[in-house]
Amino acid sequence: MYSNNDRVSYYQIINILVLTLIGVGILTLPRDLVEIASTDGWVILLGGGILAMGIAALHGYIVKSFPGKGYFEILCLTLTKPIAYLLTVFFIIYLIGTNGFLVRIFAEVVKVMLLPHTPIEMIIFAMLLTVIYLVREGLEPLGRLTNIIFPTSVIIVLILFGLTLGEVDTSNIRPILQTPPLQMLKALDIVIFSFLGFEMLLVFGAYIDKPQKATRIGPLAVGAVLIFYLLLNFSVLLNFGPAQTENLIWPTISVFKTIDLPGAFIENVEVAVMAIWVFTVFTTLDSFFLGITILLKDVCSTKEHNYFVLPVLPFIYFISMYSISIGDVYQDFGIFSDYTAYIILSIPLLILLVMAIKKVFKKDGKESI
Amino acid sequence: MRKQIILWIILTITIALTGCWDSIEIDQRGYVMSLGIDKYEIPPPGEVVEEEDGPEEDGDMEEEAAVPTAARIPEDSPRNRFSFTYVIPNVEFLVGESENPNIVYNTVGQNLYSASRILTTRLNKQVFFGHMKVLVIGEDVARDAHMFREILDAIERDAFISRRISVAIAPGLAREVLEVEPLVNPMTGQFMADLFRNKDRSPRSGGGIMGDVLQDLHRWGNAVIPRAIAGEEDIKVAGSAVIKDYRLVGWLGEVETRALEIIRGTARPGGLTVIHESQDDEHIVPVDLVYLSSKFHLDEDSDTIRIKAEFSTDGQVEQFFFDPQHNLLEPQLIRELEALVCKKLEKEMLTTIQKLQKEFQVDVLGIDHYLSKYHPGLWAEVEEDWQEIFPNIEIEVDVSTRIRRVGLTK
Repeated sequence: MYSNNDRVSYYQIINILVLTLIGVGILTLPRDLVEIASTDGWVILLGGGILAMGIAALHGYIVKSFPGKGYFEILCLTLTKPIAYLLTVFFIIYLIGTNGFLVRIFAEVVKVMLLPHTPIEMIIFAMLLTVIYLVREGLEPLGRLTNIIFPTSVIIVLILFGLTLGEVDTSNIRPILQTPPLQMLKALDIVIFSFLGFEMLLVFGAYIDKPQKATRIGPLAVGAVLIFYLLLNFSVLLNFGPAQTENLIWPTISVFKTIDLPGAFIENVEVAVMAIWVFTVFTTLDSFFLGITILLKDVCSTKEHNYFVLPVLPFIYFISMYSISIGDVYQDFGIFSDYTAYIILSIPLLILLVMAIKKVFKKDGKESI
Repeated sequence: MRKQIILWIILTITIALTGCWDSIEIDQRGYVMSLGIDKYEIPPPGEVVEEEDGPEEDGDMEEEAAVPTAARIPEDSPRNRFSFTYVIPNVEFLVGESENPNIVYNTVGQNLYSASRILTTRLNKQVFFGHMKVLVIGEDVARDAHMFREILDAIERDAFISRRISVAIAPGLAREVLEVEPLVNPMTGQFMADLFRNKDRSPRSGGGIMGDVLQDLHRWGNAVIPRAIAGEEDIKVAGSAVIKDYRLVGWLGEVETRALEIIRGTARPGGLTVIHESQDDEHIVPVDLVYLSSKFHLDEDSDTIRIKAEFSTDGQVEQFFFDPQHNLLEPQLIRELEALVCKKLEKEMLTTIQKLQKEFQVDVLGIDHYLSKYHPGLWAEVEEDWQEIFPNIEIEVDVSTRIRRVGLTK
């Protein structure tokens, strides 16, 4: 279809973004929502998701306004070079940190659910080495991979969702709208954080086939993930009810453990979910890792990004092994996100602001001439 | 050429050096089909001998594993708190090479994990809970809230134990239930799992699915769990144990359990027998019932909390009388039978509600669920003291029955 020219099509970038968004946050999201708002979690999810779609659209607008330009170039053009260096390095640190925590949470889940005797270092290392293999090849192979993974996993996951809804107590969703609105508003940031990953649109913007369609990409990807999250949240809530959901570390996995196929030759269907989930984490890690190397390429103004792959690896590995226990991992990840994600999300707003100001000045200039 | 050689070397190495930390051959695993958990009691000195001469060749060496004292009387040390019974199906029995269908191991320990690990000192397989079907908890454990919560957490925390396993509470010892070799299927674990899964199972015991029980307990610490009773050559799952504040407070009989299941809206189809009296005759009429729905209504006008519970059932007459005076195609007779069924059900339900309100003072009827879901405002007021309020609320029962079919004869 496409030759290896480092260009991804409109559909590929949507697939990439969807699979980037779905990572390890999905495992804990239903619990987070129940902790904040009991049975009203879906309201926050819907609100936060729509807000995230808006923010993603802004990202797309920036990409559209600077067709073929990378994140670093856009920053240089709008916010001057020194600030661009600073912000890009900050972005790289954010991605390295996030990747480190992601791979650690991934390894913890795999260790608990699948490989209890395998050392965690080995799980992390095996995953990172596989990721590296793909990252070195660039964005296009990732796009092609997501083209395969996306439809297959959607079909399987939808079937499994259907199965989880077999024996549910639909009244678990009640009471509806009992949480004070202020409390819900305060929790919006947690929901938006769960959609983090769409900021990669800015990094990958330079490689999109038709940048003029970019505004649609973000909202479509986030919207697809929002539907998926809503389904998941309902499935968990209807199955477990708020009290039980609050007690499960990874309710998403546990909900698939409730599937009971009478007469089936496979007893534990959640294995299929775990397999698909490994794919989605793989794409998330890959896309973030690719972001790191592409940004490093821009900052160092080299032609290829693949030299940076191996040097970055130890940093990610170090961060992944930094936290002591699973409790520490989530706490440290939370602190790390709090310090970085707000800034990452406000960079595009800054760019838009400068763009708007420049537009005004341009107009003034033209009129004065 | 050189590249090819390197490739071949790498391929050979990967084949030769495959290392999987988690690989366990299928015959190396001891698949625990059912697990029994009892509170450990120090046997009085006289009984020790008797216990060691028990019928099992395989088990009954528990003292050795835990505390290898010369007298083989375990001390009452904190290590020995639980007594676990593992039932592992004997693969050799399946292929006809052994007479023992089950391998029953019994061990004493402080907690499930360490007991299972200690078990491997005398079992040449790895204890694996991934295919466990049934958990039987002894009465003594269930009566001790602390121990019961420990066990529940151990089961829920384990990544390999499914949430779909069945759970039952045994009056007396769980071990006695698991040591029965039922005539129909001597593999005790499978037999019990089938008992729980039987589609035709009577509503005389609750659902007993671990996930549902855990969900109830997480909410307010109250639940009902089916009761498993050991017989000579069979096991009976009927009646239920009432759990209040993570502690067994009492038993409900079979009829009471059926009433409770109908009230909770979880009853499976089952039968009911009424006695129909006409002018000169008396007929026993069994009716097959499908319990359709159960609905609560809060009487909002009243000052006190008044709950109206409405139930509807559908039925079919299974037996009447040979050449009866009045035949069953007379709607009037059907109406009479319906009224009898309603009356009987209402009576049973009121007795059960009375027992739960006055004797156990625990709301396992699901009224707490109903109020918290449909009347959150009121629930916020009463949630704190629900334990005290529940015994004094008014509950009205209203059953409507429709007998739809009468079988093949008039």
